[in-house]
Amino acid sequence: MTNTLQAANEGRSSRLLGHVVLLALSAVGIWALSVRFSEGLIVTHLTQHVPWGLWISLYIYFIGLSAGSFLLSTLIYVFGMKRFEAAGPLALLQALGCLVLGMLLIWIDLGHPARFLNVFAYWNYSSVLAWESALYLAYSVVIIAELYLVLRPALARRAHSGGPLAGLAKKLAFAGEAEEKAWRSKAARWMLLLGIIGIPIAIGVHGGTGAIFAVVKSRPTWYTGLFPIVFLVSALASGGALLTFLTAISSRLPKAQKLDLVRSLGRLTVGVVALDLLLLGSEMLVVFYGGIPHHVAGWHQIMFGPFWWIFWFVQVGLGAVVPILVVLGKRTGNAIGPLAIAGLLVVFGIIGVRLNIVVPAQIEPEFATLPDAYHHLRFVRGYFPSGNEWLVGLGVVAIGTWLFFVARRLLPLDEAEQLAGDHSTAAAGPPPIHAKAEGRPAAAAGHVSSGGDL
Amino acid sequence: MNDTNRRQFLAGSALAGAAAGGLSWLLGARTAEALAAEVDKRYDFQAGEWIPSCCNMCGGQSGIMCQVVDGLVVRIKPNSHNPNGFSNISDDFFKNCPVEGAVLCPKGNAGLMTLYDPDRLAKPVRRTNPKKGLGVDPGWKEISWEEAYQEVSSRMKALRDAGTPEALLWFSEDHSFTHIQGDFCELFGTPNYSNHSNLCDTARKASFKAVMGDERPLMDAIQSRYILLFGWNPLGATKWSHLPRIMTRARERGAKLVVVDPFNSATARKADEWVPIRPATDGAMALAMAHVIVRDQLYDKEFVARWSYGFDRFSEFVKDKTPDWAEKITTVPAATIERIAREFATTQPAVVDVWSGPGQHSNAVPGGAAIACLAGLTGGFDRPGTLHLPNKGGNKHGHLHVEKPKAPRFAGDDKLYPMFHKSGVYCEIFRQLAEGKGKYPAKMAVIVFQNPIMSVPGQETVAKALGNLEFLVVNDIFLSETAQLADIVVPGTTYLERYDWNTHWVTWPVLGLRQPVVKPLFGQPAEYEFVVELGRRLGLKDQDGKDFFWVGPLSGQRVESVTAWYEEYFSNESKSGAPKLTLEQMKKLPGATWVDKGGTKYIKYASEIPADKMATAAVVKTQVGELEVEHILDKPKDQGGKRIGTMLDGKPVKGFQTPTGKVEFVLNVLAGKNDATGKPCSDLPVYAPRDWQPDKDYPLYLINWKESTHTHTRTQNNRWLVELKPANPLQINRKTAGQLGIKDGDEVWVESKYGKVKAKAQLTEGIHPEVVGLQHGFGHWAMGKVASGAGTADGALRPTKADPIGGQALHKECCVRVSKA
Amino acid sequence: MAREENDTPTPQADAEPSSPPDRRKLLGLLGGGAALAAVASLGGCKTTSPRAEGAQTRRWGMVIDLKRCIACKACTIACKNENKTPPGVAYGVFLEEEAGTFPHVRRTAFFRPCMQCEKSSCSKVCPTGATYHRADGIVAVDYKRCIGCRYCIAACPYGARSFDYGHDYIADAKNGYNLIPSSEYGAAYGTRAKGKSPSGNVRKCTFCLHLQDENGDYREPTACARTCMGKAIHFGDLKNPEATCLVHGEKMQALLAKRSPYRLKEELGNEPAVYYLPA
Ligand SMILES: Nc1nc2c(c(=O)[nH]1)N[C@H]1C(S)=C(S)[C@@H](COP(=O)(O)OP(=O)(O)OC[C@H]3O[C@@H](n4cnc5c(=O)[nH]c(N)nc54)[C@H](O)[C@@H]3O)O[C@H]1N2
Ligand SMILES: Nc1nc2c(c(=O)[nH]1)N[C@H]1C(S)=C(S)[C@@H](COP(=O)(O)OP(=O)(O)OC[C@H]3O[C@@H](n4cnc5c(=O)[nH]c(N)nc54)[C@H](O)[C@@H]3O)O[C@H]1N2
Ligand code: SF4
Ligand code: SF4
Ligand code: SF4
Ligand code: SF4
Ligand code: SF4
Ligand SMILES: [Mo]
Repeated sequence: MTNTLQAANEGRSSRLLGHVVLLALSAVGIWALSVRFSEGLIVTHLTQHVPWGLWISLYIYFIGLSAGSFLLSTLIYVFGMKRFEAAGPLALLQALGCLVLGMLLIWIDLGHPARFLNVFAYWNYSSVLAWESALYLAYSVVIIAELYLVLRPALARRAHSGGPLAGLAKKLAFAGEAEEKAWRSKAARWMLLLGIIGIPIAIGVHGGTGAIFAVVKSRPTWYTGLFPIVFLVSALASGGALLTFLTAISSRLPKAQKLDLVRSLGRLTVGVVALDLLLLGSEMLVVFYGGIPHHVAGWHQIMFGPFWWIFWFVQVGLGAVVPILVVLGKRTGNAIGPLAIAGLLVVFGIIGVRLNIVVPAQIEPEFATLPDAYHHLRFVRGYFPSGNEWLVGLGVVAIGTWLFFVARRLLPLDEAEQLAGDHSTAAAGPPPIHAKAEGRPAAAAGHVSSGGDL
Repeated sequence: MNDTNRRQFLAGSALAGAAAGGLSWLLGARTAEALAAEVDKRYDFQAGEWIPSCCNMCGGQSGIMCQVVDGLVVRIKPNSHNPNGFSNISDDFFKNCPVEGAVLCPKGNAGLMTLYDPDRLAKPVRRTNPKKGLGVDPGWKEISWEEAYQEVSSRMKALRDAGTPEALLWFSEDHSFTHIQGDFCELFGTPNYSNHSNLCDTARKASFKAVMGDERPLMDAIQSRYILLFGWNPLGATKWSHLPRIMTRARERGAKLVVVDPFNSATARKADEWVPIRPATDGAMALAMAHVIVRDQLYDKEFVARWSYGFDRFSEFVKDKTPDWAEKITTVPAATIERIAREFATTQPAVVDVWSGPGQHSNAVPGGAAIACLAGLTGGFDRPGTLHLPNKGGNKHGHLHVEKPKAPRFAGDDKLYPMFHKSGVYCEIFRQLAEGKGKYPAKMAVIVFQNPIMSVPGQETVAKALGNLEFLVVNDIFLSETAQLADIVVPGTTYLERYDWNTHWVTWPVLGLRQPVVKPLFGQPAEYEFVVELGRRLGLKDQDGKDFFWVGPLSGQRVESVTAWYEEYFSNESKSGAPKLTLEQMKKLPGATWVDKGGTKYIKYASEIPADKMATAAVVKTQVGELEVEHILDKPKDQGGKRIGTMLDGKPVKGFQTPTGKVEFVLNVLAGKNDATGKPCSDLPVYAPRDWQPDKDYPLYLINWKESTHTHTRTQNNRWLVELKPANPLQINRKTAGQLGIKDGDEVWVESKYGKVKAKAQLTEGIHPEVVGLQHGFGHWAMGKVASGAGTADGALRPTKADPIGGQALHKECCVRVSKA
Repeated sequence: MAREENDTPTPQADAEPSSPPDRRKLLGLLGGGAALAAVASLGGCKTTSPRAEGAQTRRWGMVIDLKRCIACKACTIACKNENKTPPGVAYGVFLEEEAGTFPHVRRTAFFRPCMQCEKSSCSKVCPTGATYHRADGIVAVDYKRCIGCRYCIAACPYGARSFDYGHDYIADAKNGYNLIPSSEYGAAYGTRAKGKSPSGNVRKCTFCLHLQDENGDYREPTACARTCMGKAIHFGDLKNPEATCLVHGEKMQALLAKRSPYRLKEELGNEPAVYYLPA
């Protein structure tokens, strides 16, 4: 008991530290953002040859995480993979949070952010980016709806339990006890439907984000049919990885159940990572075998350019090989800690993947001597993000992360997780809410009042 | 949906609506940037006024049109009424320019950026730090114009009062408002008026003058079928903006272009054949070509027989100048020399020309003369497609009634250099000044529109020279490196803010007007107004006691306004010149350019002098060696008669302006003379190695050149031009660099026995392996924010030295070692 | 939408500000997202500007004769002079490359304006249609519509587009140069101001379309063609077989009939309107 208390205390202080760090980074980010908005993109180190840099890399990174998370959730809600059910609510929240972050980042990256609605006001059919923008919106609608449906029973429960935000929860649950049953059966159908609608949208969102690049014939490194698929796969990998990590650090499931879940997620993740490596290998084989100078150039940049280490250490080493070994390892693959780290490594590794997708392909200019044709800092060869780009990037991620944890705390995620966890262990249809609530009232109440989930 | 639900839904959508409204208000407020649908016509192409004028971003004086709206220069475009910018041959101009239109070079297009350069000097400044030297902060203090005039004129007055007006040295650019400055100096009483030609091409001038009597023949490229250029880069150093057109058009019509140059210059790149040569050996190659042409009797026998002098001696002289002999000197394969000689002599018409490349080395004059002799051998003068004797006629310098100053020139340069050019010999003057020599102490100098610290070899010496003066006035549009040594700097004007006449570098008489298209930005006087104001304050009078700078030359009346007085002075020049039009009339001409309808005339040397002219002419017998030649002067010598021809075979013909009236293979002008070092001159175009040869310690030749992107040391602050070329990396042959362990982009030391500068290496296959080189003009430490600190200046690596015959500054004679910094 | 990318240019259907079909489509697309649609149209309709279309009977193009080109780069500066583009924005640039070994060096060198591709990658990817095809083949940018996403830069195979990062040559706002507005698109965007279009937009060579008259014919050749020192740039209508170069008077199509003209990166299928005659 003392141990638990101590652990709880330690947890609390590290949580506090976490909040402080996130908020500090957020503050810096907000300052950097204010500079960016008052000065314009002049604060970046982007050039005429590399017009997309860190922010776009982060944007596709988060879109990837989002789509990956969502697709994982569909495994549960559409394909009925109950094993993962407990991770479902978190996956959805993660999908939403990452989507918002991704959209925020691409918005920040616009030369005229105030005009972003022009994308909708003046639709251009042939633009993948236009389609993507619409898909992001549609996609966010789907996620919000799903999230609502998933959380609603827990909301309802929170409403009954009379916790802090019970009043609001009650309003949001939209249902009195009387309607609960009807709602429940409707909800399952809706979830299935939304999941089915959501799959193509999610694939569109991420495969489409890949297509934003893939359709660009001027950059041979992007211009391949495999590209959207690679995007999708690495999205799944990153989504799975983040989910693995977050579940490992924040899930309140009983230990065995949690390990089971984390292990499943971890395996799934490295499986996808392995697939990703396979696709990468296939792509490289074709490129290097063909040896078309312009095609090779991009890969040459990636593998041997000034940021070669991002590819070898971040993307391949830490982002793929190490996690695969960890998950397959006999001891490491069966312990929550290492699995969490493996997940985190993939999450970071994919940042490398995203940077390597966006930047090196642009470094090789459309004509070899273009950077020498006109002398200005926006015409130089190469790109390295400016201080402002780093701070904004970091700040936005910090804000996102902080909001995510706040949301995670305010929303009845734990309850939902538990509800789901019970299903998956029971491997049966969802039991009635009140029964559950009755079954473990103390625990539920305890969680709600226990404070930060960080 | 039940009631509660509906209420909740409505509440929700109200919330969403409010959010949306707020958002769109927020965003909309920023998006709705004055969305005036109509287009602003105030600055479109037809707006305002298009004022014709002439460019002066370099000395080329191309015609320009300036669009001015609300007192702002909005655009500069080519002026198609001005042949300078289209063609130097009248047929081509008359027929094709109305269709094709004239052109401008990058610098001409960048004029706005010089006009509006924020680093321009706006007010006169005076130095507060008495110490002078390179890198010494002058401690500028802004002063009023009145103070500036007061101080400068009182300093000048003191010299006159002391009876030593010759202690004033005056240096000026050579194409702009030179007449008024010359007049000022004469009225003031100093013989020390010099201008920049001797930094430029006086060696070329001397070479051609010696061989064919004209200082500046011009190549008729467009009608040529074979163009052979020695160290002349007209496609990069576009001295006149029509050059690229006439050269590429010639190639299009089948002409072959051959460029002899150690560097693969812009012209060499365009050439059918690039002949890399060891620097300063062009004379040897030309002699070997002459050898082949004479040996194989490929020369124009008729022309040589009738129009040349000294052929036999020359033939004898080149007998042993075989291509094999030349190969060892030049590194050009003997077979190549043979072939080019034959091609050149057998393709008609062919033109050969030479400019600064061979012209800025110590053996420049005989080398250039050897090249000029090639034209002589093929009769390549004044025929279509050859070298032309320009038929100049434009503004006329009003006659000044004043006694010539009695004092000799400060450095005695006019007596020292056998082919002294009236522009003086800066190197001689600065060197003597630095060494405390000279015929008398020079106390004060005025430098207008030049940057000798950067453009005369031997930075230290020039700085010392200027530092030795008691008082230095600089007129510049920037606080240039030279200005840093001045006591007072007064802001000049750009060419868009002032007048000038431009007799153009075409083959027939043309006069273009430069006129102010905007008022001087800072209300400053134009350079000529500065001079006039000084003249007024000094009360300078001519021999007749006339207050020169007050009495209008046209009206004979006293004119109060300095500007109005100068306009009269200026107008007088066109009125009494070839156009016979006043300034106002000139302004109204299409493109403000007067073009002689007579056009280009060929073989002018053979034209007979008409009887009416002969009636007033004077024939003077002159001894040229053993030969007695009759020169024809337009009027008797004592009345200031000028030579207009020669009696040849009993006929009065124009001939060539050489002592014999013919093309001279034996250079009579040099016969029996000593050069500036006291060595006897040869009267043959002998090849002798230049003075400074590579050795063990300094094994590489260092040369330099101009590129289309910049003019000398004056455009490196132009914000558009630096985007084309921000600095001047040192070009090194890849192989040579390999031997030195130098990689592309490395910082290197370039070191000669006179100094050491840093440069950035750029490896290329386009330069002779024994040679390194860079674009001239960079390496500023003053001038402006953009120019300062960019690139490398090589002036510090050379001595302040001129070629000993013509007095040409030796910008390209240098040996260095290059090592990784 | 009436306008199909990469079709033969047809007049813009959405020249009319926020034309109803747009919005209907949008609503349809978003289905239930009515609120969003409202926001979109609210925010969006204000950014429309008239989009000049040019003459449909023309197809403006260039034939650049590399034999005549001397690599002086006057074209690049003439463009600056004409369009007053800010630092870092270059419409026409000049590319050079050295090849071979001493003394047999060769240089490839060419001027690269925008190719005004018939099948332009830039307009195809532009999410807002800010980059659009005019009837006369010129690809233009609607500065009030462009959101500055720079997708078009990434997509252009010729590196012909620049983002306006907001640099200025001269800081002092009262300096004469800063008082001169760019004449691009008929000076519709006034003098330069921070954060105001075209700063924050993507920009490109417009074939100096502001030099056209009311009928869509040129009063003056493009600045680069006009000043070209080697007289290498031919500019004119490629559609009409009788049309002549506005600079030199040769028939444009006749120029293409000899000396094996080629286009850059022909294999990409962009169908540029800029042809080169080999050096
Ligand atoms: N863009 C531009 N144009 C200009 C000017 C400018 O500043 N900028 N200045 C104008 C003026 S005032 C002048 S005088 C002219 C000068 O025009 P040019 O005479 O063409 O002057 P440079 O470019 O100095 O030298 C010409 C060539 O000589 C080569 N060279 C150097 N040493 C030797 C040698 O020993 N032998 C041979 N054969 N070649 C050699 C150089 O590599 C260079 O390519 O240009 C005029 N035009
Ligand atoms: N190393 C090396 N040196 C060379 C050469 C070379 O090839 N190599 N070339 C030589 C040649 S050919 C020449 S002609 C000379 C030229 O040498 P200079 O005659 O000295 O010409 P610039 O170097 O252009 O310096 C011109 C100065 O005038 C100022 N200025 C520009 N416009 C105006 C104006 O309108 N009014 C006034 N008042 N001032 C103005 C500029 O700011 C600058 O300080 O350089 C020579 N020097
Ligand atoms: S050559 Fe260029 S800089 Fe020189 S006068 Fe002509 S346009 Fe002006
Ligand atoms: S060159 Fe580039 S910018 Fe120009 S039309 Fe083609 S794709 Fe668009
Ligand atoms: S930057 Fe502007 S023109 Fe380019 S794709 Fe985006 S909205 Fe279109
Ligand atoms: S056509 Fe006009 S906008 Fe295009 S490069 Fe030429 S000058 Fe610039
Ligand atoms: S202006 Fe003409 S000749 Fe000069 S670089 Fe441009 S295209 Fe070539
Ligand atoms: Mo010169």
